[in-house]
Amino acid sequence: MPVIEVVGLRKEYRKLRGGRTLAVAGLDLEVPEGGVFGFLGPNGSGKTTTIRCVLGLARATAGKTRLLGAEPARLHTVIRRVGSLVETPTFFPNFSGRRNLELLGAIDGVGRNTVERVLDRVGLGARGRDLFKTYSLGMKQRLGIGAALMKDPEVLILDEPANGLDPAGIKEVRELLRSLGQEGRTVFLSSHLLAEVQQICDHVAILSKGTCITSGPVDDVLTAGRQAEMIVRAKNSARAATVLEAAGFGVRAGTDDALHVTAERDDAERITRALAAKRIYLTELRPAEVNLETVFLGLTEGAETICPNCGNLVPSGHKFCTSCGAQIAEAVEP
Amino acid sequence: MILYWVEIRRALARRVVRALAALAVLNFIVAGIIVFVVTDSDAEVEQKLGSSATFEQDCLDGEVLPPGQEYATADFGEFPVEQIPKQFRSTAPEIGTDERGFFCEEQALYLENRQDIRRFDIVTLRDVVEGLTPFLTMVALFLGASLIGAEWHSGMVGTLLTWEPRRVLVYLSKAAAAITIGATFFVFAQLLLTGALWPSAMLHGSTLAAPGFWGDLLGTMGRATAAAAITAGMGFAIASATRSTVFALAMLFLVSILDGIVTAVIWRGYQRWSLFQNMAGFVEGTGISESRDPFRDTLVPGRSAGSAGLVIAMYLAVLLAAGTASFRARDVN
Repeated sequence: MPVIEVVGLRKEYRKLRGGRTLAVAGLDLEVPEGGVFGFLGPNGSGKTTTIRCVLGLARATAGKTRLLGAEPARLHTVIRRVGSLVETPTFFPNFSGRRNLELLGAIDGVGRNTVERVLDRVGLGARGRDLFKTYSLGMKQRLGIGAALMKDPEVLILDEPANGLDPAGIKEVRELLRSLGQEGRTVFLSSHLLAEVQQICDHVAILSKGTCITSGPVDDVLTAGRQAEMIVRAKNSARAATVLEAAGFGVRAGTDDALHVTAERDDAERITRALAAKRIYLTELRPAEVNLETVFLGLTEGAETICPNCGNLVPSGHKFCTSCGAQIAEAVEP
Repeated sequence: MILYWVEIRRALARRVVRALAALAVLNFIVAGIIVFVVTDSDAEVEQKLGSSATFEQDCLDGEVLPPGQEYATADFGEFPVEQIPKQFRSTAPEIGTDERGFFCEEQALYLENRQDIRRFDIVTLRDVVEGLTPFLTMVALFLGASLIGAEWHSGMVGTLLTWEPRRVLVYLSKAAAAITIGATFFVFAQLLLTGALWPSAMLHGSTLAAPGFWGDLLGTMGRATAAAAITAGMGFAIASATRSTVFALAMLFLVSILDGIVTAVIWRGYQRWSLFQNMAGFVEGTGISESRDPFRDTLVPGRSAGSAGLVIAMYLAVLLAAGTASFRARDVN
């Protein structure tokens, strides 16, 4: 039985001035038991809305969601086995981190010792007595992760848990999630940090405009989404491009005069011969790396842009990054 | 039940609740001290009464107001006799006559009245409780509204629902906690008030009361507590539906204005259904009196105190039902 099952999920929001916004458009998703499952997509692709529907915080306009086999109306039967963090953690600003966790934990009979242990585990042991409102974004995020861990859950649903964390914090969270996945728990990780997800996830689903465009084990997704490309560098890249196109290869310009040539690894000899015949000599020839980012961009061709400042994926047409606000006029187009 | 106690714990840990409790303690202690200071002890009363007795004896002996001296026949205070109109002046009677005896007794009584003897009798407490009820009810309203309003404001409702997704249970637990906190605060304030005024009654007045007084006082306090609890519940229900403390308070303020306008200007018959008139009638224990509608020239029937209590309880039930439906149906961000 899948831990999370989403069938034909559709969620529309009514606008105040009439009309509707479609957040999720018929999403199908199955999250297997155990390991870390990456739920990817740019901002506004419907990740958080899907999580809200799964957790019963938002009602689906159509379709079904099941968490550990329970539909939203029966969530209370399984909620003790689920820890979650949805977007930016929200707690009482005038209570300390410790008191916030104690009050939440009291609902489920979680004792003070567990609260202390969790605070230590997320690195807030020394700041547990401080008011939540004095925490930095990263500390709030840690407290949110701590709250999700308090129930010692079988399933963890984490929405952008690395938001606001510094590089050391991101590394800690990465290691924490990896260890949780290895313990046999299911970690459902929503993120737009593709490199992070690739490092820790076993399975992945990619969302775009409210629909799932691919899902499966990370290796399968990388293989299936792989666009066979060779990176070619030569002193006269413009002439090299003309020669390769004449030889029947697809060519596009990359950064630093590198050419991205649509070709399999086995085509290396043909490339070398074609260029050498025109007295153009290679300075570099290698297969292009395939990672989630390239797969994602390949699958969502033209739909997203990478922010040059923070690396966030921004829907096309946006002049500013939806995450950091930086201008994205010079962003790399997929 | 666990959720209810968690809500109570959370409410008691809130700074606003603690601040209001501290403010109430401070206010009532100060009020108790002021009442104690401005009232007279038994010794002071005796001294004042003694001085009027001495005055009466001196008067009988002719040492004050000797025969023939002009005096004021009405209470003109310290106003010089010669400046008082003649029709309010007379001359002191001869010593040894019955007329002199009545005259001196009357003058001593004037003096005693002018001594301004201030005492605090415990029977006054009922009026004090009734007078403070509107204010304390407003505090209960604020407490009930802010309990859920702050939670919506901080976004904590969503976090809570990821721990307990049964929304009706969550809502009713919170509502029960809001009502409990409103009522508890009211009882706490009344006990404080009684405690703060008790020394004045013991030392500067009287703790004696007519038979039935204590029952009557407890009845008033009980009804006032119930009214505060209902108001806290209303504040909670409105703040929950509107997801804002301020909006809830503004809405009730608006309702109070409309309530007054409708009753006074448009439809006198509405008084039977007016939230505030029923609340007042219930707390005072007098209900709503029968009156005549000047606009329609008809008789508007009144309502008993118990019936008025049922009306406000019905309003609370309707608001809580609407709040539950809203909380159950709407998405939580």
